[in-house]
Amino acid sequence: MTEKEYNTSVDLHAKALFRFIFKNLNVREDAENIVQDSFESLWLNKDKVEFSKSKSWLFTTGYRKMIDGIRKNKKIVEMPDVIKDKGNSTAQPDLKSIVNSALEKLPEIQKTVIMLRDYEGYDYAEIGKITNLNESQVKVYIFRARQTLKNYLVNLENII
Amino acid sequence: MKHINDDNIDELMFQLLEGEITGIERENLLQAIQSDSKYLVLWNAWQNTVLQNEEIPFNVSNLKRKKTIIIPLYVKYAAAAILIFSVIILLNRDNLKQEDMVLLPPKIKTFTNPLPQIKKDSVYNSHLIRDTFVPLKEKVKYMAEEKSPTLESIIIEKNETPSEFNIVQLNKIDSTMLVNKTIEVKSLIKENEEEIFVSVSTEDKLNNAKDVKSKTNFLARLLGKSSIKIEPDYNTRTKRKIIFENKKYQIIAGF
Repeated sequence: MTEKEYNTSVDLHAKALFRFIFKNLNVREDAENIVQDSFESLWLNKDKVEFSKSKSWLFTTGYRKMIDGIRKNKKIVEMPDVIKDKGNSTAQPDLKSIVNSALEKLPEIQKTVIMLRDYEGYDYAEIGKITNLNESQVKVYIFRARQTLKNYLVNLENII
Repeated sequence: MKHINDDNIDELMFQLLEGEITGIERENLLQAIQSDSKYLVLWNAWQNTVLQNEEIPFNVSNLKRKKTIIIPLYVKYAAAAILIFSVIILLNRDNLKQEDMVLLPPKIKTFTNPLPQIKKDSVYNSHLIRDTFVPLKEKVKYMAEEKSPTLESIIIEKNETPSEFNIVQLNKIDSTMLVNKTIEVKSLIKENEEEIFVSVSTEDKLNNAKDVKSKTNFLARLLGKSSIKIEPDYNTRTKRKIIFENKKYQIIAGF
């Protein structure tokens, strides 16, 4: 990978990686650090990593760093700003906020796989590579995640 | 074709959402969902489980690599050398200034008219003074009569630098040379009563008149006859100078 390709990777994937990490951790500073570390690692391994596989490589690295960080710190998950604001508001929350709040309640692995699936459009095999799972496991986790979200939404609809 | 029921509804809807059911099967399944309001609510809920794209602001510029310029090695060495020389020059600036001054050509003392006023001083006051003056009248008197212990021999080392006043330049001489020409000197004095200044050596070893006298005869024989002549010299007040000389030595006296 050349310097130009590396910079292109930054343009193409940095925001997506940050969103992925931030949505998992809900701590901006930690997410920024992990993204920084991931790209630093990419630069150090630029001779080994092909440009076409840089996104997958970045997400894999970022995910592993994130898991390491979570295991090390066991941080208390903060509610995202959007959800916090909505919680304080008397207005009826929109669908996006409800889904986000439901997403926060998902187990870590389910949250990860569903985000990789929906945000990044990865197929099961690619998600499996990133998360070190096989395709069946990925499919099961995604199914459980969606089912949980669906139940949350249905129950909320019933309440409203 | 799969039939939708309460047991398989979640599985079928998930497959439908994930795009695993396509074609006619998909159309039939969607039609079945539309026909039942309960399934429709569930299907809407399943559809809402797909996360919508969300932009979170993040500055990527600090992740980018800036262009690196490869500088050849010799440029680095040259830059280092320039830096070192600059530091050395800065540190030794004061010293170099002094050296610059030394490098300048030394000022050559020139003796031009008008000559400075000379304070009279007696040779007798200090025997340690090498170059001083004495009026010619007195000098000639002493030389003629051979009375002055200090003037029995007037010897100044060859190559000695001129006196401060540049009045007299003396080479090696012995008193007999002057004594022999007393008459001519006296005639000069008559002609010009002004004072004449000479450089006098007062070293003690030269004060032994007897030794000098015995040597003078020998020297006179060895070196031949001496002569006195007057020549124009614009560096003197009278524009003239007297030259006492023989083959080896020369005394130039200015008025």
